[in-house]
Amino acid sequence: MVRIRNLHFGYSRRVLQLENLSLDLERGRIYGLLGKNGAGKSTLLKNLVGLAFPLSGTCEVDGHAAALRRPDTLQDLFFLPEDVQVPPVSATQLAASTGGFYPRFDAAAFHNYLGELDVPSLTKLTALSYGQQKKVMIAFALATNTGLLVLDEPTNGLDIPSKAQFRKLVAGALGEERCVVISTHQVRDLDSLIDTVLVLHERRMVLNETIDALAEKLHFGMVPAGAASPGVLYAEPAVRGQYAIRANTGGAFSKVDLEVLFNALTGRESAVATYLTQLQHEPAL
Amino acid sequence: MNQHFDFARFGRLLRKHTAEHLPSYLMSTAVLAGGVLVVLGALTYLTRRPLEREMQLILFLFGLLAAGALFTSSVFAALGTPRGAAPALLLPASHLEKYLVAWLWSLPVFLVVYTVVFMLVNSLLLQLSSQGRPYEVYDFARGAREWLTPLLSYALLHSVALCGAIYFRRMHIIKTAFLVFGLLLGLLLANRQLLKVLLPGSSPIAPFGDVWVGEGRQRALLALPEGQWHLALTLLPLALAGLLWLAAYARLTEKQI
Repeated sequence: MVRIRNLHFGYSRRVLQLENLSLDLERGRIYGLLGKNGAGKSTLLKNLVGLAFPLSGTCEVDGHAAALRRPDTLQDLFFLPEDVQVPPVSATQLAASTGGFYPRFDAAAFHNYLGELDVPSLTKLTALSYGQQKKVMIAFALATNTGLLVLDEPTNGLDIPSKAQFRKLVAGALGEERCVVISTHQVRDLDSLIDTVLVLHERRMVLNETIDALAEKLHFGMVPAGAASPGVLYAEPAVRGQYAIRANTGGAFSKVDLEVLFNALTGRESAVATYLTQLQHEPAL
Repeated sequence: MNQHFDFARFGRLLRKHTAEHLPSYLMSTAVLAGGVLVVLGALTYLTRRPLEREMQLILFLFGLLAAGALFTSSVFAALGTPRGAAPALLLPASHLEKYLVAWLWSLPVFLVVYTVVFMLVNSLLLQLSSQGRPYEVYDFARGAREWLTPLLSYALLHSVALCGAIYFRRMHIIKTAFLVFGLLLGLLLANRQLLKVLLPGSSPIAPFGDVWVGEGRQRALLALPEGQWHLALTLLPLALAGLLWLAAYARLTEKQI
């Protein structure tokens, strides 16, 4: 679906935001793009949808350069920016005026999502609160049924019940033909939603793994404070000792803690990143 | 599906633009009618007689250029901010279709609306102020000479304002006006320096104007024949406008946020 090769991007050639980045995104998956503030998550998403053009390298959606913004590509792509702007019409009018641009737009599903998110469909969007406006645009984004759905910090501005509702709706809207990319710096919002983790750090992609693969390779759990723990790749203080990431040599299952994993990968010297890279280069037995 | 132009998609885009902007356009038309009424009414009141035909033309032209520049400068306002630019640029329609919607609303539609509003207000005021005396209405139906100058002037100004609307992110009209006046000043100075080199004895003249050459009794006027001059006066603004329209379109295809 999306193919990025040797992408270099910067608003000036001297200061690069993204450096030699290569990435493949496939249909039927929900990707969580994590990174610190200013890591370049939004910049990568803009390149991906054709709102920013690479200085060198390629960024293709379904075989066409995203920067061309071809109508064929755009009608199978929806991008929800972090800061949304709504037209001065109601949600029903929005569906009537804009839904037609997306061949698989489902008006019934749109109104259903609005109902679940508790947003009125006949009130002018500009008269709604910012959180309500964002919910309308999330509902619209899901109802377009585009092959590629890119959401930049979608939970910013949403209240706590809406965040849970958002996770439920996104999980329900995913199909085999759909690729969803969600960027966030609030790792907890993506818990139990994404199936592949992408971590962007210091202009490079330092992790691109499925949750299942991570659970196979790493073990997350508590270790007693001060005790010597063999195989610990990363540890951080917790209430009852230390929470650690270890190499999963025994094949035991543990739940991947995205927040701890993110901290481990974005630290000064990441043993976790080194370990995962080593595993990638080892020949399969 | 054609990736550059598709009638169904263009119609959908036009309907969407109209649905989202019609209330503000109607309000702007009312403000325009009020503005024309105030200016024409004040002048009629001060002169205490119906406005003369030439004065009507001057006011029509100045109003058209001022209101047109203001309106055209705002047609790409959504692209000035990242939150507005993302949905506008990623709407599934071609760059050409998006450009044409802005072009249509700001040139032919605006021209028709402005002309109708001006003529209605002007006719009303002429009737009210005439009190039985004869008066002359500026009438576009008389022939091409009546509407060619306003049309060409507006086409050129529209192309400049459209370029400014897409190149600048904020304060489009101020930045465009600043740039245009700067360029005009530069052109005047460059023209003067060039003439000094080519024709040392010539008097200072405006670019593209006639020029006196020679000294004393040996002076001669260097000018284009009348027919060619009219042709140049028609084709030059059109050619320049065409180039600037193309530049605005090219900029739209390159727009990034």
